[in-house]
Amino acid sequence: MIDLKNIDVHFNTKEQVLHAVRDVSIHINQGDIFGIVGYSGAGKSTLVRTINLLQRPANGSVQVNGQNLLDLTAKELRQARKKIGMIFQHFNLMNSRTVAGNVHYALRSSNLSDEEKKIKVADLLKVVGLADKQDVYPSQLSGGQKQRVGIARALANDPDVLLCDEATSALDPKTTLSILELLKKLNEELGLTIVVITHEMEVIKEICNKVAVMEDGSVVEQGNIVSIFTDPKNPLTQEFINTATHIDQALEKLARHPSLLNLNREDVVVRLSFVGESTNEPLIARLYSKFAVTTNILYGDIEILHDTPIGNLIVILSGSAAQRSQAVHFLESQNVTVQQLEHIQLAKKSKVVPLIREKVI
Amino acid sequence: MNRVLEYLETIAPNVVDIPDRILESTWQTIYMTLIAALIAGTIGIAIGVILVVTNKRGILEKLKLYNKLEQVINTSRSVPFIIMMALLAPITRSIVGTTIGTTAALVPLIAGIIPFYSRQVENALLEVDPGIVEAAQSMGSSPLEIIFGVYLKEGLPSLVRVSAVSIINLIGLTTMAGVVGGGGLGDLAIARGYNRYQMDITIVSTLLIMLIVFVTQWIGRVLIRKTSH
Repeated sequence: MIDLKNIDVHFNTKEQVLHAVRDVSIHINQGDIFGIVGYSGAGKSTLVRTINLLQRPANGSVQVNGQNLLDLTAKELRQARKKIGMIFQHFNLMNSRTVAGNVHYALRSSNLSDEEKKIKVADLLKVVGLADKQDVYPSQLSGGQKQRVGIARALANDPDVLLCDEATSALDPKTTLSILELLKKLNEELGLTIVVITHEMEVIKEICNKVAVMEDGSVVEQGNIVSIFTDPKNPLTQEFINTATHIDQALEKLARHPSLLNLNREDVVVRLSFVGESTNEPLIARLYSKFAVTTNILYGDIEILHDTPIGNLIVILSGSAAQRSQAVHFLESQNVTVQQLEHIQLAKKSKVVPLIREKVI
Repeated sequence: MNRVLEYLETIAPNVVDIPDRILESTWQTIYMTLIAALIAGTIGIAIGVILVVTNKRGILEKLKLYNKLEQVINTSRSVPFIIMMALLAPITRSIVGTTIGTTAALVPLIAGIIPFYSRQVENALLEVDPGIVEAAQSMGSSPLEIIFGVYLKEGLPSLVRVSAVSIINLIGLTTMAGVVGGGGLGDLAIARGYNRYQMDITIVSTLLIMLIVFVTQWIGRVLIRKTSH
């Protein structure tokens, strides 16, 4: 559907050449919700703008729907852009037009009759849940409603692709969820391919089936959402995942309340991570009944990504060394990743970090 | 009624003597302002649009054209209006056929206000959120659609504001039209009021000019309110 190959974008400033995107190749299939995540300045917005050539790449090829966009004339490109909808962080609605007027603008050069356009506008507003706001001006709408108008406008020419440039970054968490739900619905009902740019892993987690992580203009890791979440390879990806699963915050809290970690010689702190099936097993109960190891849960988080449960627990396992070792073997046999954590003092700051040196549990 | 006239005669004896002349001058000022505003407005908006779209990051970026245009505007703005009237005399003659009279004054008025107004239009249009322009581009709008559907429509309240300012500026320029025999209230104030020591004429001319300015401002405000949402 979308095929970006070896995309380079640079901006020439007076002092230097700024490489916004470096040699990025991405392939997005029909029906994907493809997330591109990264901190601000990573080049995600620039990258997504190459998909509709709002930003022309210095090198590389851009194929959308089998069409090589870089080969098109200005007129053909405008035609192609009508099939690539785009929504923006700050909505970019026209303040001088009503809600219906904004959507209608997108249909300006379509072949529909005036009557058909009117019906189409009303239908689109119904789809995004704003049927009653037709004659209202954008200044009277809330952020979420403005984004809905943006979506209706982007859908006016029945696009195959929807580009979302930080579309929920200016919205509160609840509104964000409702917009993401709407996008998901459009993806399922219209088969719309969606590209989502965001700095929030939460957003990716909520709707994407594939994700690419960007840093400093390059894609450092990309793949299927479940594999990225369960087995992040790149440190930056791990950072994003840990933020999204709140593991980092949990570890910080534990470090601040060492009383929670009042360990005696029989205790170890471990992080248990598991994917899919094993979450259905009553593991904790088994540990006690089988090995007489008690488990004190300090923190737990279970995400369901595309019907695959992903769990993260921080627990204290108590029992004799031999029992604990058996318990860990059992857990690992159940495809649970066990990682021992330790509490350290670093420059007067206490931290809970993964145990680096090998140590028998 | 008679008593009112009597009273006026005591405070403004010279004004009461030439009511027709005052009416005519007022009309000349309004005529010069309206016609010049109409013509200079059209040309100024066109130049302002060209400045915006050819500027860096504009939708039809052409920096060479932009720089040339900017040079012309800056140069012409540095010529004082009263000198410009004299400088433009040959052009005025070739267009109007004469260099003297109200209609002849239109040529320097138009030429004098266009550079100022173009700049004002440029600034007004630059206030249009670039994000909206980008959104229009992403929808496949052509440059013309963006100029008329986005810049001129979204920028309308600002355009009205700068137009009001420019018209008031233009009214100021019309007062100098007397130099080329254009008449108007400015001429009346100087030629009659000042030169003949008829202070009341100067005062009445000033009041009338102020009235025209206030009406312009008021219309501008109403239009801005009507066009902003």
